[in-house]
Amino acid sequence: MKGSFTYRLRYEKNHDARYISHLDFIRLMSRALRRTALPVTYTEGFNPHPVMTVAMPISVGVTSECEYIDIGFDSRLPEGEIAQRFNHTLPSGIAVTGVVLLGTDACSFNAITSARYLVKTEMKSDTAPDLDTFLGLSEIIVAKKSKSAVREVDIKKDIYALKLLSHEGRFADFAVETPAGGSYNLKPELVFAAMEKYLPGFGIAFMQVHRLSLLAQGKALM
Amino acid sequence: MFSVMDKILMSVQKPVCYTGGELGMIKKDPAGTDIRFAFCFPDSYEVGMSHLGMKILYHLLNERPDTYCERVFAPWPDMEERMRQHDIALFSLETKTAVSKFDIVGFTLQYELSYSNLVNMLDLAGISLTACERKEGEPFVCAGGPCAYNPEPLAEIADFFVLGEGEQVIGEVLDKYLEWKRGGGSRKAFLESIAQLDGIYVPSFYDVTYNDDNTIAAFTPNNPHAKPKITKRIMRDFKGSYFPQSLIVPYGETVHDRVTLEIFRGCIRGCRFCQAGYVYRPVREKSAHELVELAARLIAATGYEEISLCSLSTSDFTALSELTEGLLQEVAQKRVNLSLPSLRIDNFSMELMQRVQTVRKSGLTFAPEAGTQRLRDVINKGVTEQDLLDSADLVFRGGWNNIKLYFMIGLPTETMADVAAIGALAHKVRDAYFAIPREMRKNSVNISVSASTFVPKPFTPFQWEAQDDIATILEKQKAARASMKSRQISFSWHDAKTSYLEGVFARGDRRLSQVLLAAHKNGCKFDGWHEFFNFDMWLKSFEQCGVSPEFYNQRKRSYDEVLPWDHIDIGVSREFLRSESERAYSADATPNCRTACVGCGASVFGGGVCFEG
Repeated sequence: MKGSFTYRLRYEKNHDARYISHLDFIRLMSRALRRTALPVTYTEGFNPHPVMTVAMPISVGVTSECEYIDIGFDSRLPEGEIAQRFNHTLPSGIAVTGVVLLGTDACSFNAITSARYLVKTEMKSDTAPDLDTFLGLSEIIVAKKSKSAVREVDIKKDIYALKLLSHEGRFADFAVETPAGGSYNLKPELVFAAMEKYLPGFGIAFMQVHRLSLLAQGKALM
Repeated sequence: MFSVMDKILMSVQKPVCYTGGELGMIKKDPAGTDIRFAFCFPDSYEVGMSHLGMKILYHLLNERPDTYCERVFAPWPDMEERMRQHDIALFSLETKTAVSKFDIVGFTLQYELSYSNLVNMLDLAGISLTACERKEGEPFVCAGGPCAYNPEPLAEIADFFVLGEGEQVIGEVLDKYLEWKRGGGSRKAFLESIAQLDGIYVPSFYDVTYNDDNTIAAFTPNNPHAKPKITKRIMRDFKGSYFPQSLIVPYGETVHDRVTLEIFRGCIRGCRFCQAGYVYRPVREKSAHELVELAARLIAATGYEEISLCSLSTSDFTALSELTEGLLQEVAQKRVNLSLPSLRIDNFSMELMQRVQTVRKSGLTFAPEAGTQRLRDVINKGVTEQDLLDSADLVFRGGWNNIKLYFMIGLPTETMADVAAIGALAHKVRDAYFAIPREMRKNSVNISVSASTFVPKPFTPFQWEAQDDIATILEKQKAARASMKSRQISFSWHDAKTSYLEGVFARGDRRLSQVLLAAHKNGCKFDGWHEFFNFDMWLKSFEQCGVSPEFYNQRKRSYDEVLPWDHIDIGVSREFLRSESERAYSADATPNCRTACVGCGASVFGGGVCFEG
């Protein structure tokens, strides 16, 4: 990012904004940037676009309180002003909750290793799943889609954390931590698919996934 | 804990089409307004949100403190299925209010193949489908837009129509509505009060009688408030006319996802097949200065990365050079792209396009419309073969190597020789590429020829013509295809069946309302989308109603036949259209409005190009 100052923005994506796909979100942010009238750095070339990188694409329907985007500006700016100008022009559901100027020692998005989620579920029965049995299995095989193929993989080692937070009738909330990042990623939805497979009588009627944090070796990105 | 809507939205293809809440959406407290207006677009969100007229009217209506205008689109069939499954009635995006709770439900009619969606949306809303069934307490259903110039196919469905440009007249309608609402009269009383406004047509106030041959015998008002002739409305002073200061910026990508600058209305050209060229007369321009200012304001408010000029023929804008200079400065500063559609190719435009980044070196489009000079003269397309080849030469020398050529098949007086000439012309354009010096050529050249099917439209000199039948169109498409032998020329064409249906409704009368209702019952919707278009079901619907589609699309009318739209006055006179029809048969060209006024009748509006000199 030539001659520019890179700022890391933390933002939340809630309510109806959860239905915005990753590609649409990139377009939305670049339009929001133009509306802020901040001195953003543009790429060179025929079709210049703002210099920005989103940490981790998020699935359609998933809400989050800790998404990150790095944006290059041509000059130094007060962090508070960046946040304020964005929040003035972002559509409802998306809000910037933190801004820092990145130093040379900043942790890159490539360093992201895991993510924590709050998963609210509506189950098909009143019985909460037996997590001890599930986590005690010797292997947990699910069909995992990659870009090119669907493969059977063992995700037992990938369930960093799985806890039942609350349970009332057919509704249960869970805390989940799974690998995240460019090299290996496991969506929490797959953990629940595995529970449906291995725990007789357990089924999910509907679930709402909420990302709580993105972590690099257990540490927050800013 | 989870709402039904949460669950539904997670299961449809494009949830962002149903959430509302986009940047620029108008928020009001419905309880604080007197009139709730549902602006309905009878197609998908992506198509509807691209429509300029809706943007103008949405914001204009919402300027009124007494009115809340909200948007409604046709849910895609996956969404519709779930809505019906869960008994969710059609709702507005702004406040998720059921459409049946609105005071006025207004549809814009952009193309005939959206009519079945209109009926389906009323059905999804739980509103009575026909005007005569609609009870006190139900909304008034109205329609406007270009297809409303022949409102008759929807005559039994809509309570009233708005003819022409809606900016002024819609406000007058709302004023009358408030008066009526406060006074507490019958539905009929409201319709009577607006029937007196210029540009408002209440179809139930007219009786139609028919001759033995099914043509119309007479069209007579049956209500003392109904005018014998309804004149369209226009914005006489287009300079300074209303345009929103901001726009809604959709979450997802729409068909036209950019700032659209409408530089003028109408067209000076008078191509005889083109309905827009007659119904929007006279030509009225905005000033270059106000357009540049507007562009700056809209880019700042929306953050869009592209501005596109919108008109029927960009090159005919009198201050084009001043406008593009101003816009080029603006776009360079804001790093946005400028797109210049409908530009005639000459030295000025070539230089301009070299300076505009978006015109990628890949594709430029020409519309000769017909293969022979004779047929181009018939349709009054003032383009010669030499014009086209000179333009192609300029374009190839400028570094472009992809050219699109648009033609129409099925034009009046067309012979198989005219059709074969499409290929011959495409080959000449290709040869123009090989005529430029080798070092100026790119690696390859590609000529994409596209042929649509001509559909005769009301208020054109061809309104009396018969449309080619499907077999003839298929034969001509085949012949056109056979006339192209080069690898560098590709050919695509329109589906003849959709054009057939378009032709029926374009010149239909009010007996088609029942066919439309039958087609809806039979499941027809999204007819403009080939994955949903069910031609056989349409034919069945015609049969069920005992209506012959050929009567409407494949029958040549005599000049003295009463046409279903004869009670509508667009300014351009029937006599003028007839003389243009006769000139077409003798292949006589008619000059454009700026070369010479030919007295079409549009000067009655007292503005625009008619009074430029």
